[in-house]
Amino acid sequence: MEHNPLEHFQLYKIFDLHLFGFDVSINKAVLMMWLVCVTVIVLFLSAGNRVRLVPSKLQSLAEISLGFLKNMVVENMGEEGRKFIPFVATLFFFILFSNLLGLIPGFYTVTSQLIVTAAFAVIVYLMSLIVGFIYHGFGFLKILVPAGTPGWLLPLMVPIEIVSQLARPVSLAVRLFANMTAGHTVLGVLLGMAISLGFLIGWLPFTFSIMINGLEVGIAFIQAYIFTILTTVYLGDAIKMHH
Amino acid sequence: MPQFDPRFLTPLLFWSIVSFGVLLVVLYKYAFPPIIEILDVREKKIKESLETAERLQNDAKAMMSDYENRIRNSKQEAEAILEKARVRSQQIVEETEKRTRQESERMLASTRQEMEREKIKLMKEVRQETADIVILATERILQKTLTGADHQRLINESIELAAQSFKPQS
Repeated sequence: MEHNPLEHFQLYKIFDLHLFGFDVSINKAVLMMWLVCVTVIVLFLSAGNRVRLVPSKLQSLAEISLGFLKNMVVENMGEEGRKFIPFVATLFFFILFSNLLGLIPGFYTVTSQLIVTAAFAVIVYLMSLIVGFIYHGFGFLKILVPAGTPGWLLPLMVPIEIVSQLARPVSLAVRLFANMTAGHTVLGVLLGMAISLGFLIGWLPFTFSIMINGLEVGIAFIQAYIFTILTTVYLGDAIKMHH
Repeated sequence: MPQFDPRFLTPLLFWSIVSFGVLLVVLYKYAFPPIIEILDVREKKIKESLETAERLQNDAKAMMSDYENRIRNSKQEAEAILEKARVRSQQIVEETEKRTRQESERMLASTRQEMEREKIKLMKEVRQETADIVILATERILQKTLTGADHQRLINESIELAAQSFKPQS
């Protein structure tokens, strides 16, 4: 039995749609984005509905996660960063629920599309540049010169720093995409083996796939966390400019 | 890899930005404010409660030390009163002893005087009695009345005799 473990990443056009000459057709990944948005909105609206000083379970969960993100933002960006809390929190929950909902069999992992993670990575990176220029004007360009660099090293250091700056969005995008893709590919391989090996040996890869699935839940959280904390670190760098 | 299928680049890019934008707006406008507000309220409340607790603790400490002071003062007062009472009772005992001693000495002295007086009176009586008896006996023996000089001599002799026999044993 032939089985391609990458097959479930394949998208198919569900509804043809064009906007200003661009193809914006609906496919499974787009439906999943909507589902993610709806899930997050419903969860937070019901958590924020009738807030009480002694919280319900859902409210408590929302408060704990928001409080956690708030601390993360303040820690990496200082008090100045408080206005970025909604952005950072939205980013975190969008990625987290994309990762988590994608684990449900038959659903699609939005974050396993490089273009999606790249879009967020570029948005975050552009935002850090804009924030840096707003806070420091052209002085922000000093971020390309590490403190204490001798003058004669500048021709070497500046290009290196430019590369390291450009590596930020790339690594941000590829890390999330690769983790999600790899996890689902491993699951695909294991399940393919479980099916093709039959009942006698097939239980072994099947058992593994269950364990890997548990691991994937953890990775879903960890990757969302890493993406978010790097976002706050980059934005914090732009605000504080300690290099 | 199916992910790099160029047919899906624009739809995914477009929709991920749009979905994220919508999510951000909805969460920012409707979902986050009440939760962030309650977080702040709770933070404030906890801070206030902690401050109140600290204040109450300080009050309690002050009260406690006040009470301890009062207890210490009353203890000292009680000790002072007790000391005074002890001194006073000592005084009373000493005064009473002194007075009793003086009284008994006085009584002893007066008793001694009385006894002395009684003794002298008794001796006088005895002397008189003895004189009478001697006179009577002598008259009987001699059957005649003695002269004044005889009389006196006899009396004196008898008194001497009696005095010797009545002499106190001291």
